Amino acid sequence: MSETALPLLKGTVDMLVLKALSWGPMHGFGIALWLEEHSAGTLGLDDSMTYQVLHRLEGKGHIAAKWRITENKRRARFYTLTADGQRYLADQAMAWQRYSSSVTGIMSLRTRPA
Amino acid sequence: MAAELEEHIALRTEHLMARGLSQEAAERQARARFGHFPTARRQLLLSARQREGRMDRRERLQDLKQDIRLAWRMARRAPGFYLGTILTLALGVGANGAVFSILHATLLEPLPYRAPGDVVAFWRAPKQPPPTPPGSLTAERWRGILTSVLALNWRNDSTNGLTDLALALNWRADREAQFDLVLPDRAERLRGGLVTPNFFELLGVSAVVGRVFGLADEPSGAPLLVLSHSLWIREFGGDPGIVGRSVTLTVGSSRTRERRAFTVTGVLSPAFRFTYPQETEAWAMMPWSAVASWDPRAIAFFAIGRLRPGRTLAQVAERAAAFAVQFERSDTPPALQQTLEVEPIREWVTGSSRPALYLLGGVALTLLLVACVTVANGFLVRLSERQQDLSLRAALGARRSRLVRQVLTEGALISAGGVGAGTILALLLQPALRRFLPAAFPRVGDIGADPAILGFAAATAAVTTLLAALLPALGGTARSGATRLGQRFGAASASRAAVRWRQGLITCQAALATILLVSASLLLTSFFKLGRVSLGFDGTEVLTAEMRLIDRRYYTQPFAQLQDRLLAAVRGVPGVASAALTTAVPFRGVDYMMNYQRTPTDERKELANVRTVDRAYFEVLDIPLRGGRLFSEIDGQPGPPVMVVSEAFAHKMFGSENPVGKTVVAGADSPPVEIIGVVGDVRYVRLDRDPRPAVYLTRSQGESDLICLLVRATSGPVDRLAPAIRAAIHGVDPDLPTMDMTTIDRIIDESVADRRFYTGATTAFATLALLLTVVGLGVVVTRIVTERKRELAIRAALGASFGRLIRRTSGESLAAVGLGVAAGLGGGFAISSVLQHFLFQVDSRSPLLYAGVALLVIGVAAAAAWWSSRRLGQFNLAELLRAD
Repeated sequence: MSETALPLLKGTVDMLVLKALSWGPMHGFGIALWLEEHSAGTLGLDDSMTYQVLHRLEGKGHIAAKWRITENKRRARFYTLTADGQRYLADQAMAWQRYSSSVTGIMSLRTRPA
Repeated sequence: MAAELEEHIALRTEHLMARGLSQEAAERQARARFGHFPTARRQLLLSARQREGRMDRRERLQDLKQDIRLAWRMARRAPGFYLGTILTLALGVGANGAVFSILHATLLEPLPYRAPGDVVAFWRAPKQPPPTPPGSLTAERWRGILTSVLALNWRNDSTNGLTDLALALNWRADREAQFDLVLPDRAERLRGGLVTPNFFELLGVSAVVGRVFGLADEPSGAPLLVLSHSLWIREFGGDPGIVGRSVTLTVGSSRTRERRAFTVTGVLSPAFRFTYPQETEAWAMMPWSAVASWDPRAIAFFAIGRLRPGRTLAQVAERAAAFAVQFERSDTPPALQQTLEVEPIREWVTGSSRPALYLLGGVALTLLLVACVTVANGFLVRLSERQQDLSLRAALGARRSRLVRQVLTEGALISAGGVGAGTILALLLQPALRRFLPAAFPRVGDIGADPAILGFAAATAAVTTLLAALLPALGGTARSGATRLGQRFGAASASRAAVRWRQGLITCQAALATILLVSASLLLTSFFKLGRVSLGFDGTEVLTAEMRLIDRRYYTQPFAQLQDRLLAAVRGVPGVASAALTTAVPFRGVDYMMNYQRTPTDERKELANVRTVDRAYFEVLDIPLRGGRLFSEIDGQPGPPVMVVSEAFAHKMFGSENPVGKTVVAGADSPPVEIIGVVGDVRYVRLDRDPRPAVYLTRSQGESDLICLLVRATSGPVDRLAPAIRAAIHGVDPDLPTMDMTTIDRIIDESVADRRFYTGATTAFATLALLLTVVGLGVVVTRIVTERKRELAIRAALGASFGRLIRRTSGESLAAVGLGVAAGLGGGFAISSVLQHFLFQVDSRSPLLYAGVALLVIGVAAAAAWWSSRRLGQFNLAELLRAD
């Protein structure tokens, strides 16, 4: 369970951004918006944090970026998940599942364990 | 990145406005979501830049790794090309590294003084200098000598532009500086120096043990001595307690020579040098007061000065020349007028060897050029072999810069290999070259493995890589991939441009090799001519030793008596066939000159070398008698003075008349001397100079404190007699300092050592250049055979003879060689005038020599072409056609 040793927020945000991109290429603002909507605002991120994470992931080769034209004819930098990023996301998601279910399991105990 | 942020703000603003905020509020909120927007923006920009740099680097590293992997694969597929190229580079770089290390040590490395560039030498020289003898690295420079009056006045001249002037009396020029170190059992003659107290201060040199004497020691006038490091080790075992101790030296010129106790003040660093090639061993202080009491006309002192800051050599030279005029008598004819010359001290040390070093450097650089051209040609051929590979890469989208980089990486790897091997070769070659250097070569001891070699090798390699890889690479990747791929199905031959490049490079190689070969054959011919030159005497197996009798006790009895006893003792040594004494060892030592006239009023004077000899001299050296008679036992004893003269002297003085019985005089007030015999001419000073007129006097007529022993053995090598002869001399006069004994053969050999050195080196380099040219040609012809094998096979099947096929493959290359040879002969012809300085009895325009070189290059090239084409006979047409 070495994954849990990561600073929780940082590791989590990386994973969330990758998850957002697993639905398809998105620009930075789109990702921020997607995270806001799907967390019902509880995971309100600082916008600069979003970009730091994006650029870090790009540096690691998990995502790739390209300038493209949006639906409403604007130029924006679109991020895509790379094969490497997909693998990373799968690993992270699995670790997160195990971690969160363990934590949830313990936290939802009502009786003293034997 | 900045654009991305602007875009984000715009989108967020739109989004917020869609929720009903005003544009202003929406924008404010959009920025607020970044925290402090300008800071966040700056940080993001910075991190983006760093990330891009990292990614760029990673990408480039990956490219490099890929290129290196590719080069490695190529190398394993064609090890011959790689090894050959690396070897070629290694030869060029190695030869240059070794030669450059010599040039560096002798010409470039500063002398071991403080700010040596400011130290200058002064001497009195005729305004019209006599020509210097040709072809010598080590021509003794008898210069740097001043009279005391000129030196003292020049030092005191406030406008001389110097911080100070110091004087030295040198062991080589002055017998007074030849000290005898008195040891318990023997005396040893030292190479000494008498220097003014400010000498070391001026050079900026200090002692490693104790101290050097200085101007502060002048008032005491005490006899002080500074030792060289080698003498300190040799005679005093490196004992630091030597400082302050007293040693006994015999000093002074003949009649004033006496033993004196000197106090040692210190020992110099082993790096210190002042006289080359043999270093002065002991330095005694000569107070300025002693200089002032010197005979004002005696030309004795070597003077060095240090330029005052801001003064240039030219300024000081101008002032010195103007200063010297006032010491010239107004009635001196212009031809005899003297001036005060000045030059940097480095000139004084290495000046005479510079031409030969430049020759060597030029030859080495030419070899490097040949190596570069060979490598370039190799790359070109290699590139045409790889055209399809490159075309394919280009067709798959590789940019041209990427392809060029790939080829360059390969070149860099090869050149790194070449430099590595070349550096090792240089390090191996250098001690060998050093061993071949004449012993008398200036600063030969300073030559060592030097980081400068590495630097030079690296620099040459960089140039080589650029030349060899870049040019063909640019040419080779210039055209589109499609044409190249098309060639796969057409006749797979190289493009016209590539062929032109190849032939051009072969022409270059052949031209450069021819120039080197012309130079080498001129030098070699000179050297062999020199070896066959008639000496006029037979010096084989003759042992010789030079002794200078510098002591007042030699004046209490006639020299002749001591010399008779010495000669008798030596003749008594078992194994000695004959022995003689003279004043001058052939090819070494001092050969006195004198003017002779037929009568005291005769206008015509003939300059002759004067040698004092005894009767056995002509027998020992086997100099033939041409007329009259040799000395007899009674000659020169009380009676009329007589002399034997050389044929050249007789001819100059008396033309076709018989000189025997005639008389000559040496100046107006000397008695007439009768000529009793004529002997053959001898070359006595240099092999490459014609024999000079000579006269011989008997010992009893011309006493000299300089005596040279000549000994011939009854049988076998004369060397083995040396210890017995030395013991015999010691028995006659135990105080006579021990001397060096050597054979005349060895002396003559040493006298041409410099010539042997540069001739040998040039010949070796020229041979290497020819070899490289041949290898280059072979590679190209082999490639042509491969490119055109189908065409050739068809021709062979249709009945073309082997000879015709060879003409098709090699004709163009051999034509290129021919063109190169023609250009090289022209170049060699142009260079031969530069070489004239080094030649001896060789016509530098000899048609035979040029024809020989041309035949050699073309013959060797033709042989290489034939060898590379020999596969032609083995082609199987059916297989070749099936292969496609």
